[in-house]
Amino acid sequence: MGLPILEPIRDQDLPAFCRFLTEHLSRERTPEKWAQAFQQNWGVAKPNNGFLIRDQDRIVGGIGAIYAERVLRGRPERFCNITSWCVLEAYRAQSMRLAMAVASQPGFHFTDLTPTEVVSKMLQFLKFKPMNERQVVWPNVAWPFTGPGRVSVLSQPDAIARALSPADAKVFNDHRHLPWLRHVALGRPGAFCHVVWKPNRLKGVPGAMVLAFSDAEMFLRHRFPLAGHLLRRGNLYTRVESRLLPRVPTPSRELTGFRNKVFRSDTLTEADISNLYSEIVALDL
Amino acid sequence: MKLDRDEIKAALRDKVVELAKNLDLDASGVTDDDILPATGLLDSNAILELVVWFETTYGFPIKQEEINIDNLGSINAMADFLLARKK
Repeated sequence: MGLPILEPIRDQDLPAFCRFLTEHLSRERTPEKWAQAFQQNWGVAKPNNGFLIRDQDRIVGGIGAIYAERVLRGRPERFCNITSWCVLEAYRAQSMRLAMAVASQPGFHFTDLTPTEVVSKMLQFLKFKPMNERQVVWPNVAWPFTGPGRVSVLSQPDAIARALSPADAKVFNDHRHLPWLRHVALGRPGAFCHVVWKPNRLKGVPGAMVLAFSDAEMFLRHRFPLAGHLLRRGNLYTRVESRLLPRVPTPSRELTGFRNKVFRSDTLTEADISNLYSEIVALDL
Repeated sequence: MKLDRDEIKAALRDKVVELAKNLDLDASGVTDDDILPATGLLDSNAILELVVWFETTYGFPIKQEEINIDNLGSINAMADFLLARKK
């Protein structure tokens, strides 16, 4: 058997690639839903949507890539998020070839925030590093203090956009179209933190999985008013990845045993790797 | 055991050909500088099998953090890695 052709997934290839994903990776997601995930406008001229392999004219495998640019410590950084890696069994020797094609593109930090165990090992062979997988959970309790001078939790989109700094407002605007995400602005006039969370269940108990915040210290400082806000919406706990926090707060419990997310970067640390601008939010994973 | 670089590379090449054959692929044209994961001749299981065979055959444990493309990405890289470790 000769080697199938490897080629970048251009915008015009997306419908066929997404039909392939629906057929072979997850029938729960329509081709249109897959395509939407790759069509984010996240500030970077994307070189492709990933890579695919064809045998004759038939797509037999592919790896998706979602690109984004984020400003970190005043510097624009370009990210390539690997996702939706699917190769037909008869062509499985091509899977590493696909990964190499994506991960050898210059000028990007690479992430896979939803790898299977096998994918994680393959990417670690390509020098991806596993991130701390622990998560911190704390109970949401009622927070009775409201009024002038108190911490506010703003959840109306227009109020959030007005309260946040221009940089944080951009992040909010880049994600507000994704209906599965919840946003709040947390803080006081002149100093608000943008928090992004999703409804979540832990052993059947409803809670809030916090995906990102713009200021870790402010997030921790104001976690009690946020907990009160979340509790009023039926969320009994707050859950957040330990790697995103400067310390484990009290009271809380740290949970282990989750799958390691992986990344490859010469300059960034795992605390710099956000769940925003990634497949986690683009695909509601 | 005295290690000869050419013998190591020949043994590695034979193993790559054998593993590729299990996948119905012909790796007889693989070169010492080819980046093995990029050739499309080995899948992830085959690469891990190659690493395990390499460890066992030459009797040297490879740490998890050493299993990467720099050390094990090509026949030349593997030979260099083994000879450096056996010095």
